[in-house]
Parts: sequence; C-alpha cells; structure tokens
Amino acid sequence: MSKVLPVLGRILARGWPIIVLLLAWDLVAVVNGYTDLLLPRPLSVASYVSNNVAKFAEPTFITVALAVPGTILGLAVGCVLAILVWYSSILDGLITPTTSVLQAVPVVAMLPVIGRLVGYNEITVIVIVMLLSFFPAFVLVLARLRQANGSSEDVFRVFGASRWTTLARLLLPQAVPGLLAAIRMTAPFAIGAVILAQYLLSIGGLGQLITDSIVRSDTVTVWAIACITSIVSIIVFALTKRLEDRVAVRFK
Amino acid sequence: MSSRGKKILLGILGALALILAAELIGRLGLAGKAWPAPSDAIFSVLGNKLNSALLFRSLGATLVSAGTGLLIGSVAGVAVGFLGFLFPVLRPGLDQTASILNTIPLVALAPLLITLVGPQGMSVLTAALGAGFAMFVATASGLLAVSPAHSDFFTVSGASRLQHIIRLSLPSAVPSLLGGLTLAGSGAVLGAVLGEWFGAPSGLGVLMISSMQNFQVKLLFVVALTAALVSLLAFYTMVAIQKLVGRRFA
Amino acid sequence: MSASGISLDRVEKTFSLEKRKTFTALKDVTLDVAQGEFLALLGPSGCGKSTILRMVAGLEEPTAGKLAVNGRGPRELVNEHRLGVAFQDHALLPWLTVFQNVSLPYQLAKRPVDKARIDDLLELVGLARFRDAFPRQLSGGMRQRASIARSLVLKPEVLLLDEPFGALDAVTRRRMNLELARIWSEERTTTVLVTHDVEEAVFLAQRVVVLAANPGRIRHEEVLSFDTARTEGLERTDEFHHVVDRLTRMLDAS
Repeated sequence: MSKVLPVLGRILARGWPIIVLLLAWDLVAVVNGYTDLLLPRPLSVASYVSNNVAKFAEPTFITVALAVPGTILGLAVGCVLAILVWYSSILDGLITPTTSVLQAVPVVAMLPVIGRLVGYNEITVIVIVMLLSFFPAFVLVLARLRQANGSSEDVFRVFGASRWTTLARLLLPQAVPGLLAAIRMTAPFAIGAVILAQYLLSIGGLGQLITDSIVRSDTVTVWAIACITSIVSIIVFALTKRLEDRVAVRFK
Repeated sequence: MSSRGKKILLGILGALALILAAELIGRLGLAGKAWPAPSDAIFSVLGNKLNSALLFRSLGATLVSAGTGLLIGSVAGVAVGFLGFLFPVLRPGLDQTASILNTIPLVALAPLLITLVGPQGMSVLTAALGAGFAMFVATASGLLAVSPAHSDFFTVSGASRLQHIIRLSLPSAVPSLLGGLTLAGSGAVLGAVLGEWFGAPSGLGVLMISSMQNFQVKLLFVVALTAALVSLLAFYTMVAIQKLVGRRFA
Repeated sequence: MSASGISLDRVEKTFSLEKRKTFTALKDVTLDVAQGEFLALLGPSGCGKSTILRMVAGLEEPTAGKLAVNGRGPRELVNEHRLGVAFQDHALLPWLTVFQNVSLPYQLAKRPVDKARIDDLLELVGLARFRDAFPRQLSGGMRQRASIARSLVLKPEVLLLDEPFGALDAVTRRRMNLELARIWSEERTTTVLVTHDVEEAVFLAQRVVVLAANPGRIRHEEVLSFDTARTEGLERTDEFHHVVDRLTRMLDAS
C-alpha cells in the first residue's frame, strides 16, 4: 500500500487532464442523452474495439507501416544533404538560404499538390512523410556538424587527419543527438500525416476507414480510430523520447 | 568580394536555380501534366477573372480564420501557461497534456472538434490549436526563464510576489513569447488550411481540394503557392517583430 | 550580542545532497560586524563565504545558531527595504535603462522615486552620462558600478558585496576598488565584502576575516589600521605588502 500511493500520486499529477477529459467526454454524452450515433461513451468505444480487434488491426498496421519508410528516407536525405552542405561552402551558399525559407512552408498543406503530382497512391504518402521529416533532420544534423568543438578538431588536425576522417570519427558521432532529436520531432507526426493523406486521397489504412465510417455514420468507429491514433502517436512519441534520452547521453 | 556579399549572391543564385528548375520541369513536361510551368500557372489564374476572384476570396477567408485562430490560440495558450505558473501543482499535468495534444494527429481529433464547433468553425479552431500550443510552451518556459541573480535581487529588495511577477517574470518571458509567436504565426496558417479540409464553406484549403479533384492543375498550383507565401509572410513578420522588440529584453 | 550591526552566533549551515548525504558548508561561525564597519570575508572557493552573505541577506536560513541584523532577523531588514546587495553578476534588468534600474528599489519599496538622489549617485559612480543607456551598451565595469549605485540608492543600513568585481579584468578591478573606497568614505554604510582577492580585501576593509574550507570556519581575524588613506598610494606602502603577504600565505596553507 505504501508503495502504491506515491505511484498513484505521480500518475494523478501528470495525468489529471486526461482523466478530466475522459470524464468530460462521458459527462457530455450522458447529460445530453446522446446515443452512440451522435456521441458514443468512452466505455462503449473501448468495448467496441475489443470486440472488433480485426477491423482495426489491419488498417492500423498499414498506417504505421507506411510511416516508417517515409521517415527513414526523409532522415537519410536530410543527413546526406547536411553533410554535403557542411563539406562544400558553395553548396552551403546555394542551398542553405533556400531551405531556411522553405522551412516555414506548411508541408502537410501541400498534400493535394503532391497527390495530383505523384498519384493517389502509397508513394504520395511516403513522399509527404519524407518531406515532413527531411527539414528537421537537415537543420539539426547540420547544426551539430558545425558546432564549434575547437580543441578536439585541432587535435585531429594536428594528427593530420583528413576532413573525411574528422567527419567520420569526430563530427558524425557528435551529430547523433541532432538526428535523434529530429526523429523525436518527426516520427509522431508522421503517423498523423499518413492518416491525413489516406483520409484525403481515400487510399486505405486508418485514414480511409475514417472516410468510410463518416459516410456510413458509424460514429463509434470514428471515435475508436481517434483513440487508437492518439494512443499510437503517444507511444511513438514516448519511444522516440526514450531513445533520445538514452542514446544522446553517450554522445554529449 | 566580401564574404557577406558572396553569401547573398550565392543565396540568390540558389533561389533562382530552384525557380528555374520548377519552370523548366513545367515547360518540358518532365513531371507530367500535374506540374505546370509556374509562370504560366500564375498568369493564367490571375488573368482569368473568375479564378482570380475565387483565389482572393479564398485567401481572405483563410486569412480571417488564421488571424482569428492566432488571436484566440495565443490568448488561450498564454493564459494556460500563466495558470501553470501561478499554480505549480497543475504544471506537470498541463505540460503532459500539451505535448500529448500536440502529438495527437488532427485527423484523430477532427470528429471531436466538429461535434464541438461544426465544420464552419473547424479552421479557426485548428488554427487556434496550432498557435495555442506554441504559445503555451513559450509562456510556460518563458516565465521560468528568470535568472537566479535577478530573482535574488528582487528577494533581497523586499519585492512582493506580485512585483516579482509583474516586474521580473513577465518581462523575462518576452523573448520566449516572441520566439513562440514566430512558430504560432505559421502554425495558425497551417492549422487554418488543414481545418478547411473538414468541410469549411470557403478558403484556400477548400479551393485546394476542389481544384485537386477537378484536375484544375494550374489553379491548384497557384493556391498551394499562395498558402506557402502566406505562411512565409506570417513567419517573417513575426521574426521582424522579434528582432525589433526582442533586442531590449534579451 | 550587540543590538546594532550584524552578529552571527555559532552559525552552522548544512546542505542536503542526494541520498541522505549532507554537506557542511559552515561550522561554528561566530562573527560580529559593528555599525559603520567595512568587513571583508576572505577565503578560497568553497569556504562558505558567499553562504554567510546569503544568510545575512535572508536568502538562506542557518541550520543552527543565531543570526541577527541590528538585533532582528534578516528578513525584517529586507521587508523594510533597508538592505543593499551587489552580486558578482550585476543582475541589472536588460529591459530598463541605467536610471530605471537604479530607481527600481524605490518602486519595489513603493516609495516615491528621488530623482536627485539617483542622479547624485550616478555622478558618484561616474555614470551620469550613461543614465539613459541600456545595460548591454555598457562595459562590464560600468555595469558593476550601476549595480553598486542601485544597492546604495535607498541608503541601506547594511551593504553586502558578493565579489562585485569578480568577473572583471585586473586593471578594471583595481580602478573599481579605488572608486568603491571613495564611495564608501562618503556613505559609511555597514558593509560586508566577500572576495578571494587578498589585495582587494586589504585595500578596502577595516577588518579582514580569513575563512578555511571543509567545513567552512573562521581561521583568522586581522584588524587593519593603515596610516595612509585608502587611495592609490596605499598599495605601494611596505605595510600594505606585509599584510597581503601574510594573509596570502595563510590562504595557501589552508
């Protein structure tokens, strides 16, 4: 009992708004006497999901599976570009100003253009996720590559190390925390971007399930997807945050 | 040539190369019919009275949504951040909720939000959410950004809690708040456009979807360009304000 | 225990570290500072000299022992706005001008701003021409002078100086000491200066208390009564050098 109480207190201190939110949701449904068609209660959504696991498992899997290659591709392109810009001052001059301007462009809002351009298919989804995760990786990795680390870089120079050796042995390890921060900043939002694309272009996954359910007035399913998406995103956020905290310490 | 001049020249060259590439891809049809030459697209949309009227009306609607959302979101974000500052008990929960709310995809929240405000109110609400999160984070961290030396000085000068807040915590939060505004500005524009995808009557987001579905490639291109420009403009306006005001408080 | 001035009676201060470990910063410190006296606390880093100052300022509570300022608790002095402090970090507010910074204590005390007093003080510390400048436009030495002006503006009963010139270069530091001596000879406030610079302590103070570390305790007291006035010439006298040498050896040994 003496061990349960502090844990309970911690959960309450951090999680009270979620409990309040769930209660408010339930209260609104009950007080207004809404049926499941208008606003299902939290418990009936939960029981619906547990009774129809198969219905949600596949679209969830598709959505998450699409988020992964896009994120990896975007991070890779961002890293490579960061290294090129670090290496060549001409490329730096040509690319950096434009990228810093383009950074403020809302990538997700460009979904319709990319959909039209690439087609109503999974490639569009991957491209949008790639664009989304490319900028943070580029900016954060480049910042770490450039972070003046005077004395260690001098040591490498004194030993006659080439620029590429310095990069591989000193600067790339130094850039790891930047990459991890980029992953933490983009991975959770990749899920949302995938669903948005699937919703807008009706191309499978949880996104299309939302479209279909809205058409069929299947409110319980819509709410279930909302809950599933939230939970998946939060899990991804927590995992990437943990990864960053654990690994980044070694490279600081 | 000075290194600064060289930098500016290279930057301009880079931007020109990008525009030229976009133009060439369109002219030569390298990316298929869905990529028009930007110059052609701009001239034909602005030259067409119907289309240009539609564009400007949509732009107006989006600007109103984004502006209203920015205002509401900023006030709410600052207020909630201030609440957490006044009552530290609430802080862990508020921080947690804010980062969770920010993580939850908009699509997931859409059904809930539509029940709350209806499809017409969606774009203002999503703009407010986008701006509100940035301002909440900026306020919460800004109010705590008081330097220990300043805090000690106020304590040994016998300052009251109210004086502490008004004369020290609030001005200390200004740089952080200005930093938050640069994010909130473009966040509100993005939020407004995305919100319009959920059944708004008009706006750049609506026009984007309809031109996408009707294969009006040039119109789609110009609308997307307009949305990007508005977002850029919002961002750089805030950066300018930050530079102007922030210098005094840094 | 005297009713005026500062008195510490067997004061002890321990800080709790993680996992129930504690660190004794000060042990059994008994010290009296008379009204109108200039006392310097001299010691190596980690001897708890700043902790003494922070306790006198009411920023820390002693773990054991008694501490009184003019016969009362330090918080009372603070609440009546009769304490002046200048820290190593100048702690000027960057969004206020020099004049506004120096007038801030009036506002915090909810008293009408005495503009003539502020202008006099700015004249005294040589910042009259910079009254409308912002701190970031000033040099490090000028900021410290503004900070000292701010600490003096309400004519405090007690002035606490925590290495106010610690961040300055040696040349500027010497000049600032000369100015501080001049300012103090006009105001004659009860003053406690914390420093690890022997020459600074000997040049400015009427009495130097040397502290030793681990745990922080008083090692030696030295009353200084030079024939020469505290101006530039003092530093060149043999007497000054003897004292500085002796105290330096004492510091090295501890």
